[in-house]
Amino acid sequence: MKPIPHPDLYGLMAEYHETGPLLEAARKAYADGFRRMDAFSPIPVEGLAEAIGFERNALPKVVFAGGLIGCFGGFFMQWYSAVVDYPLNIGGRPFNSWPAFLPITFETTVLCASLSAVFGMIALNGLPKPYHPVFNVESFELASRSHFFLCVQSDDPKFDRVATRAFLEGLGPVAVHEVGF
Amino acid sequence: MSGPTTGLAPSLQRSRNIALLAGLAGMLGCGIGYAVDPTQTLRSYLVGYCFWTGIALGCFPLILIHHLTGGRWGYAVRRPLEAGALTIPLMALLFVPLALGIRAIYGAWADPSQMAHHAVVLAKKPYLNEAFFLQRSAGYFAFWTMLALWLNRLSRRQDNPATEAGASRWLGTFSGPALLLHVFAVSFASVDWIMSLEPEWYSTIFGPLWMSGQVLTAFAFMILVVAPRRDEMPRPDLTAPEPLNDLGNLLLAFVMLWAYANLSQFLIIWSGNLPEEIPWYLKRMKGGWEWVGVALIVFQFILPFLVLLHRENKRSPARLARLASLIVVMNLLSTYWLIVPSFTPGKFTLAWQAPVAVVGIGGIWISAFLWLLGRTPVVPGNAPEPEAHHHEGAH
Repeated sequence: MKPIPHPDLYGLMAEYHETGPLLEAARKAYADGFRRMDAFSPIPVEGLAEAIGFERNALPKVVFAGGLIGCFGGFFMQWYSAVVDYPLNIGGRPFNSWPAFLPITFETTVLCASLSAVFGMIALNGLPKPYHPVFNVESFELASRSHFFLCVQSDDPKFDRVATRAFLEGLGPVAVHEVGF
Repeated sequence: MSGPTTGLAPSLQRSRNIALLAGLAGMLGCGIGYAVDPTQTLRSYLVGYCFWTGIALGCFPLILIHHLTGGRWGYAVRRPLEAGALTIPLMALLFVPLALGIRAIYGAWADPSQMAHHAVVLAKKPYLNEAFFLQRSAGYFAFWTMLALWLNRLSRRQDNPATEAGASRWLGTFSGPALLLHVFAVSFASVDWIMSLEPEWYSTIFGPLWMSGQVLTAFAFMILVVAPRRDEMPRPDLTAPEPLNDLGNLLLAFVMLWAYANLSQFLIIWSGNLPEEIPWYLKRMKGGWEWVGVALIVFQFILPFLVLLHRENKRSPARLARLASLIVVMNLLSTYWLIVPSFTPGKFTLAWQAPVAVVGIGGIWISAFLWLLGRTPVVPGNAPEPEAHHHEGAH
């Protein structure tokens, strides 16, 4: 089933004043078959990401790859400078004094893993985003303070302007807003 | 919420009987070994003793940390940890063979004929002498026994709503100082029981190094006890995937702590390359011992580290238990590597008495541990209520 295009409508947004009803609504919407939706909250809500069907993304793999690059890169830099580029006899120890390289190797691992976590997160979540339709809803500014929102997008195959609105109103919201482009 | 359930899970009850039989058989084997070769048997006994006492001692910091920090992770393992700590009086009893065989084991400083050649060791005599050694060990056991009794008694008082607040206040106030004293006791015990096997050698991080291994092993052992028995627990929510994930994360932290302590000691001694320090590693880096060291790096650090990075491995009871058993076994190898090269430097040996002593002490320890565990409600009464909602269809 192809979604019906709604050129003027990004989606419908239900507004809540508490986390409990939001979580409940998100679960019911997911159970009803909605997949293209998003939830907004000023505080982390345990289980909300799972409730709207958030699956794992590639970020752990990105961080792991960054850690590996930092690990081998850090070790390689020290090995290269101590063994190939500028070998120095220090107290009769071998040039490849690997135990002495481990603290730096650890540090570069952590550094590269955390940098890839930050930049990988930004790359995967699509930030920075100067314009987003949800900001057209007037009360949405409270999403960063005291209100909670569940937005069902119009490109969801199950979306229907009238039926979805009725469905959302049945989930006990304070209000249901139309989100225009 | 279900009321307090006393009594062991059926599978653990079977394990207790098997452990007791194995322990008695192992102790009989130690007796035979002693008749054949007393010195070797006592030295092997020390390995088994330090390994199992290490698990009992590793329980203390975990209980104390949980009383200080709280957190959902601790309620699934706290009663097993308390039972583990309460085995300390038994370990004091099992210390007797070591106390009697002090010259065979600690000949390097306890045997006057060996000591005469070593001015350095002779200078340490005010500390390293038989009488003071035994007094100190008695002191450690007195402290640990009191601490274990105190922790168990107050934890049981937390089960009762009428006395819960008072007990929690006491535990919150004194767990910090108790943890500090425990670290001192373990550090001194590590010097006495293991480091003094080579009395010329010293390392200031040796106490924390041994303790990190104890905590890691005790934690892995308790995960092994609770994780696969979710269906037999009165509160299966405490070992659901999310709390298991927390336990796995903590296990990862302890794996890293163990590696950190070991690397710190190795790096400093290797860099210093001083004649009074480096022989300890030289003895452990040739004649087959180096492969034990490599196995420890690979199987007690690299493999657990990589496995525990992966979320699914922490959320699966079977996988987490498999990894925990690997860690317990590797810590046995680690204890062997810390102790035995002192007797057979530069040449890997495995006397038949060693596995026999490990099984003998371990069987008795496990049966005592399970007996103690069966006497209390498996879950502390002040554990948080299970969360009302469930994740239907989300996974």
